[in-house]
This record gives sequence, C-alpha cells and structure tokens, in this order.
Amino acid sequence: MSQKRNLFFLSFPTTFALLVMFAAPMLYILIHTLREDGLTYFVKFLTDSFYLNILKTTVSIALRTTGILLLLGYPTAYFLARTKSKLKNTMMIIILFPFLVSAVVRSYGWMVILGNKGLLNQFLLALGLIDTPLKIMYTSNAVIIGLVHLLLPYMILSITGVIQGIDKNLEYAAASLGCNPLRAFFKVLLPLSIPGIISGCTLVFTLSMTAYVTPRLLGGANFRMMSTMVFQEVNVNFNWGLASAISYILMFVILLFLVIFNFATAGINQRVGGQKNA
Amino acid sequence: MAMLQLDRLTKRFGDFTAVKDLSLTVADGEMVALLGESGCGKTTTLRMIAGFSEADEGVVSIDGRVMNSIPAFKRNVGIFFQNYALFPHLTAYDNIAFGLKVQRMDRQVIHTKVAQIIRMVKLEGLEKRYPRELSGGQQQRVALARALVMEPSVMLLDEPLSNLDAKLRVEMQVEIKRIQRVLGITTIIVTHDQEEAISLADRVVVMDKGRIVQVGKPEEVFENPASPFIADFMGFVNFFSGTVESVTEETTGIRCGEHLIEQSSALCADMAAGDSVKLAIRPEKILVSDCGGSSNPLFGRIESTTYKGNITRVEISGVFPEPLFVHSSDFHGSPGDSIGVCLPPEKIRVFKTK
Repeated sequence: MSQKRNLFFLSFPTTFALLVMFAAPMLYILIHTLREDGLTYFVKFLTDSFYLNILKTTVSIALRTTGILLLLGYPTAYFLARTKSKLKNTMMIIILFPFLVSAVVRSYGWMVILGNKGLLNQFLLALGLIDTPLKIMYTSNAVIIGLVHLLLPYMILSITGVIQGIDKNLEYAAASLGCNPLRAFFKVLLPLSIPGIISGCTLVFTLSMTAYVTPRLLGGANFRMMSTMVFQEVNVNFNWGLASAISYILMFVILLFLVIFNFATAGINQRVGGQKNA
Repeated sequence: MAMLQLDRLTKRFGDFTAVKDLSLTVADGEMVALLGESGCGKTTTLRMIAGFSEADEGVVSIDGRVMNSIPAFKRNVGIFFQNYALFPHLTAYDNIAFGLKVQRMDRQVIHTKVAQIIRMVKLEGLEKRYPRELSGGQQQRVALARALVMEPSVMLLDEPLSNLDAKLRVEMQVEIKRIQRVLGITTIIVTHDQEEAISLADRVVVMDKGRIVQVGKPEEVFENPASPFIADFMGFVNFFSGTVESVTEETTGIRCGEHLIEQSSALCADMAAGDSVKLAIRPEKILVSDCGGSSNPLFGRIESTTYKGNITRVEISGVFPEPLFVHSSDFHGSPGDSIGVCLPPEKIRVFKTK
C-alpha cells in the first residue's frame, strides 16, 4: 500500500499540472459554452455540411498521414532495432535531428521545394517528365508531406523500442520451422510488434488531427482543418462558442478513433503486451 | 533419417576466426556433443548447420546434399534454443503446431501429430496455456516438441539443460535421451558443461579456439583427455609439473620436486628421459591417509577444508609447489594437521609439454 502511495507522489507534479492547466480550463470552456449558448453550436456543426466536410478532411488527412508513416517508419525501425552497425547511434541522432528545427521553419522549407516554381517542379520540368508545374502546394498532399516529415521520428522511435525487445531467436525459430522471411514477419514479428504500432499510430494520429502550423502554411488560407478552424473562430470571427464546440468535437473524434484502434488490436495486444520472451 | 557432414568449415568475423577448418561426420541417429568454453566456436558451428549464418569456407551437407546455399527455412533442421524462443503470442498447442501450419498441412493430420508429440513430451492438459503461464521445464518441453514435430533430419540443441535447476536437469537429461532414442534423430548438442555432454552424447567433440581438439566416446574423453586444457575442462583440477627421469619397458619415473612418481610406461607414450611433463589427477582419485598398500605415499599439511555435504574438499600444501585439492567422502582432520596422501599411478595422466 505505502509503495503505491509513494509511486503516486512521484507523478504528483505532472498530475497537478495537468489538472490545473488542462482539465480545469477545458471544463471551464465547456460549462461556459453550454451556459451561454446551450447546444446551439454543437448542433450547428453537426448539421452543417460545411463543418462536417472540414471534419472529414481532418480525419482523412490524419489517417493517410498515419498510414504512410507506418509504412515508412516500420522498415526503418526494424533496421535500427536489429543493426549491429557502429553507426547506430549516429543514425538515431539523424532521425531525432528534425526535432531541433521548428515546424514553422520546416514548413517554409517544404514551400521552397513544393511550390509551382519550387525545386521539385523545376527538376521535373528540366528532365522533361512534366510540361506544366505540378500543383502540390496548397493541397492536402502538401499537408500530408509536411506532417509525415514532422512526425516520422515519433513513429520510428515507438516501433524501434518494441522491436528491440523481441528476441531475435524468435525469427530464427520461425525460419527453422519453415517460414520464409515474409511469413516469419506476418506470423511472428508483426503480431509481437503490435504494442509499438499502437503507440506510434496513437501518437502520430493525435498529432496530425491537432496539427496547426503545417496545414496553415502548406495548405494555405483556404485549406481548412479542425485546428485552423478553432484559430479562425477565436481570433478572426470572435465566435468563442463555436470554437469551443469544434475543440470538443475534435477531442471526441480523436478519442473515438483511438478506442476503435485499440479494440481492433486488443486481442493480440493483451497476449503480447509488455511481456518479453524469457 | 540423416547423416550430417561438416567439411573444413571456417567462419570469420572481421579479423577473428570463430571456426577454423572444422570437419566432423555425425552418423545417422547419433547424438554428438560439441563441448567447449564460451567463444570456442561451438555456437557458430551450430548456426552454420541451421543456416542462420553462412560458412566462409567449407561445406555443410546432410545425406550428401550440400546445404550451404539452402536457406534456413528449407533445411528441415530442428533447433532448440537455450532461451527456448517460444512464440509468446501463441498457446503451447499453437507453438507446437506452428511449423505444420506453415506447411499448410491438413488440420486433422496436424491435430494427430501434435497430440502424439504432446504425449511424448508429457505436456497433456497444458495445450491452451501461453508460454508465460508455463514453468521453465514445461516451456522446455514445448520448445522440444515444436522442433520434433517437424520430424527434422537433424536436431540441434543449444545448451539444453543450462536454464534448469539441478533436479529438473537430471529429469530432462533422461527425457531428452529417451526421446532421441525413440525417434532416432541425428542430434547435435552444444554445451559448455562437461557433465551435460558426457551424460547425453554418444560421442563428445571438444572444441577450443574454433578447432576440434579431441573427439571420443564420453568415457574416453573423461578418462583420457588429450591435453592439459581438456583435462582441466573435464575436472582434473590438480596439475603439477615434472621431468622424466628414467624410462623402462614397464615404468617411467617422473621427478616432481623431491618426489619420484612411478608411472606405467603404457600411459606415457613417446617420452624420453629429460622431457618436461605436466601431470594431472582428479581430486576424488587421491587417497587420504590410508593408502591401502598403494605406492607413492606423500606427506603434506592441511591448508583448509570445505564441507560440501557428500564430500569434503581438502586443500593440501607442501607436497608439490602447487596446492593439491582432494575430495574425500569421509574426512576427519583440521587445518594445520599433517596428512599423508596417495596418488594412484593409474589415475595420473601425463602430458608432454613443449
């Protein structure tokens, strides 16, 4: 019992900060909105196709970003977890390096590359692969590219940690039992790395859903996601009621997706969760 | 079943040669132990047989078929891992059925085969448990069954008993031997434990620094090690140096300090007067006080005694420059006492030193 209490004290500063600086304001906003406008703005959002489309775009961008990150991040994570190269630490640092540059700077970087007269278009034009510049800037593709770049380290690090905990002998065992590398991956490695996939996807999905800088800069003024809408309602339209309704709906949708995601993988996660082979 | 042949296998890691020119033939149904200290190349050899690691030189063949370019998953070599390497997300049943399912075998056939092997390794009733819900011994049986159910042409066991407590070790030792006899599978055991090698194998292969240093029946290797290194490994414990003084048809006289040890010439092949030699004897072969008419009585002083239950370990100084360790099952004496010991010549092994 006393040990449990001691552990609680260790987390006390964080718990306290979260309660005072996050939960309390959120609750205040909700109560304030409900008292002032009742459910008006919630109803407005959920019945107006303009807003519903913004929600759809946001979810679609976040899902596609998460999917691409999983496909890009997993092989890299596997390599990092299994390599015996002396350069492993250097590679880790290179992967973490983007964290040192702010999202704003990185978005401007992508503008230089993706713009109509950007590096990519000039390169493709020069090669004669295209006749007119590709329209990438200010589309959902630009936003996805920016988000993938921004969030890749989260995905890689989450999965690397879990794969490092999977005994390499399990892969050898699968091979000795007749699995070619692809089957060994699907029958052993993939199911055992589900916990890492869950944590990686949870992180990047949440961060994509709530990203503001990347969609604002790479999507442009007319590209609307939930977070840019909140900003617009607060700072431009001064409609705080609608802004808080959007915030709450965004939070609810994220939670909904995380619950679905966890349920879908619950069976396997329960069996392998946190446990390592002796 | 199958015959396994290793022909001049060599494996290097950078500048380090892990296995050097290793040649060995394992007969159909034979059980061979690769015995050596960690880093002697035994595990590397095992990995080359399994196909997890590629030989730089030499050939691995099973029944005359060269295996070098055949990937692990096509070799049909069963392997038992030291840490069992059970799939934690699968039940005991699914672990055992894993390989058969990969082969897309008929479900009914799989069921029959798995049930049969489960009976053989005595795991009835535990089929639905996950590995973490099984004891160490049970996990080991699952690992064994998982490999055996594939009817491998060659079975590899990596330190099969090292993770078990003393009681379970004896039990599993008997089990492994029984199962191997019943199935008649060609088997290689890798171990650093001489007792494990000697009690399980038909033939013991001692390795050192990537090479084979002795091959023989367990009793041969145990009784007549080929070098002081192997003798040390086999538990000889007591080593002392000497010089050959006289050689006749029957006896060879060896001078060790002030003592002259008379050894049967049959046990001192190729030795001439003036050769320097190393002598070795097991602590349990030295007789204390009552020498029972045996020759070579020597006197020394008890340095320390350690009671170990079934035996007492006695350290004696003053006989040779090196301390002498004796295991006695019925010892009465205390440090400081003087003591007479006898070294039965037929129990002494003599090695020529270069």
